[in-house]
Amino acid sequence: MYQYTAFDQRIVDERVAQFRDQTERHLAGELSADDFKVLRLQNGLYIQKHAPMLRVAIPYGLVNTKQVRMFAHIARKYDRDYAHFSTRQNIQFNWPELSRVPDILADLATVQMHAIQTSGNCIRNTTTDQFAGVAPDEVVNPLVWAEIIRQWSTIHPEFAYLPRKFKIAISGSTKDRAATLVHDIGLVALKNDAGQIGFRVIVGGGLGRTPIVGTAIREFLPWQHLITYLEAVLRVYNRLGRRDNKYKARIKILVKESTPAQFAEWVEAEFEATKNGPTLLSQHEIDVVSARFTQPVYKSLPSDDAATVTFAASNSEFARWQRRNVHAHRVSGYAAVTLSLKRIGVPPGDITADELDRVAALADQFNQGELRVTHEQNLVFTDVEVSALPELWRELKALGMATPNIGLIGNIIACPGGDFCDLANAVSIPVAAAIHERFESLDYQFDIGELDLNISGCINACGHHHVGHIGILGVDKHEEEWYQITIGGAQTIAQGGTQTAKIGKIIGPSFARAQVTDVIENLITTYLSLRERDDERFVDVVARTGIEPFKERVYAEAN
Amino acid sequence: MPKLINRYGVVDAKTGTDGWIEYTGDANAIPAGAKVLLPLTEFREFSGTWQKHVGTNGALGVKLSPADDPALIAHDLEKLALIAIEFPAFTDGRGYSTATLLRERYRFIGELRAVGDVQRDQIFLMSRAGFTTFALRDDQSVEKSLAAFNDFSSYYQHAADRFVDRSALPLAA
Ligand code: SF4
Repeated sequence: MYQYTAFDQRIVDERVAQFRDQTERHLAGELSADDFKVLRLQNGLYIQKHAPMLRVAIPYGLVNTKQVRMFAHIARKYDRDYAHFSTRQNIQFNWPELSRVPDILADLATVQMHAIQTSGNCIRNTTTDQFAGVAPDEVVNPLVWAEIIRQWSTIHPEFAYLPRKFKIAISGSTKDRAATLVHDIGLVALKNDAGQIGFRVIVGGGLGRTPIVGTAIREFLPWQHLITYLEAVLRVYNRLGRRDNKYKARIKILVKESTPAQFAEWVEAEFEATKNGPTLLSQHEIDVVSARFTQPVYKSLPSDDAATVTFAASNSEFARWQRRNVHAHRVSGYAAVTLSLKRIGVPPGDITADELDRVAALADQFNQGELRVTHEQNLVFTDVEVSALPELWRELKALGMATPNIGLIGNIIACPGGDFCDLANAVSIPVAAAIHERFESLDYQFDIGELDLNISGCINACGHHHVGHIGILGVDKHEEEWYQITIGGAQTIAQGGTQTAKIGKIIGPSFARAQVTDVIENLITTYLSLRERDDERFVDVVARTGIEPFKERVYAEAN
Repeated sequence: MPKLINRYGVVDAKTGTDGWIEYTGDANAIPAGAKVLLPLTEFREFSGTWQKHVGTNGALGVKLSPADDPALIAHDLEKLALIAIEFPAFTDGRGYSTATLLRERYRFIGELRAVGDVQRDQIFLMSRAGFTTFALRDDQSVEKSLAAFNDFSSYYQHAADRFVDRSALPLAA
């Protein structure tokens, strides 16, 4: 976990003071609603249906238990006793009062947290792999680089008023768990033959109205040039990105309309003119930032724990949990554990203040006082001793966070949708709840196997429906809620030697809300009848057969 | 006339004008020896004529729209005492890159002025991007705008303001 210096703290404190002044001027009538809107968004504050919503940054998904307890405190003091984890490694509070938001930000600053640039047309929170630092397939630990990007992008004077929001994701593993191909910039940290660190730079990916898989414009950028290169991309985008139409303002449209080759040429020219200047990173700077990270302390342990193995043999529920929610670790005798926040009757990603406190206590006991937030709206303990798994499982079970549904249909990703969000065409959470209930049986979920189901309440795609194996999108038809279904999408899928992302295909006309659960069930039964092996996943079958057999079955049944 | 400030105060406080006249198509409105602010196209086509017109007592400036490419005047910078960059809306951030390029790439050392929708809340960033004067939107308080230069006492990034010699800025009245 990165520890603030006095310097970091001062910037965050001054930001709180700045926003307090802006809020006061707004409330005094000196700053118009329109002008203030842009400023408050850059501090994470939306005004939504019922009340403001405050989005707090969890830089690259890493939090300590002191911070988690602060979330609980904020939920109790300023909100309605709960909070919501978003799909971008942020936490959201849905009911704060505008005049008290500066106080919330001041409270957050006491635990080295902020809401800077969590919304607005600026560089947003950089996201990464939830298993960064512990994944066995990791080539480069992306955390230090993510922090370097955080610092560089924080209150960057040139890029505060971009054509549109700008999201950077970074991965350092063979398997891309950070969705680098569907971000404005995706960075894949890797090593060349000489063992030097560099980055593959992918630009112009994104979901929303025009889903596009990004294009790599640099296969290996030596790490020293990371910031210079990012500035080159951002400068080209800031100057040439469209500002006449907000739906065409993302960098992906510029890359597409100008062609990736032309875009790359502009970036390279800009980079040539600026490289080896003051933004060149030195080993010293990297060392200084690295040294500010506390590191987990590992004991020397055998890879397996006899008691845990015995327990798994006698307890199938635990064994199932171990199969789905426990993940391999690069250090012998340790495991990473996903706490499932996908519970029947609770909106995906929601958590109460008391649960936050309980989770913090468990993280202190089992995970060296830290945890991670995932873009799938779950939590992860990254450094659990294998021998402690049975005990942790019992505790999580008592909390309702041990459902073994990670990677299964029960792990639905859903945006807040029509219940909270002004932009929604339709609700997401009740649709997720209905599907979750239909597939409640874990036996059934295990039989279906790996399946990502994503729901967005509108084309902004906060639920990343395009890259769900099954995607559900709320559309507006004569002021009624309808849902369009896509299949075959994938956030990351192996292709040749590399990882790519796939945008799902629309199966046909949309469905009324009452039909959606049946349609999903029809898709699943079609898949089960088509699959050739138990480990042929839904998404693999769609890739093999195309969407036709699914389409036929679904529309035959629906009519 | 919008109030014009730099980080030390109101630049045109004494006279109520900074002496620059904006050319808007009527050459007769510009006396010889004046300080003239020209649109980019006018400057590029007739810079020789204008230079003669203003002579050694006057001066030339160029006003850039957000889409204007500063590379087009990169070789003329020594002829220019002022470059004004227009912000039609404060959310149009192209001017920050224009300013950065002028300072960092082309090493413009003269006055760089933000005009248009210039508010207190953008002054800190504009100043860091290399702007030295600010033609405030009419409703903006001078006092609060001057406080904006100190919104932050430190920052993470290198920016174009490192090419600005603050000691060369006129101390306001
Ligand atoms: S996808 Fe649409 S409805 Fe859902 S949270 Fe995003 S903007 Fe709101």
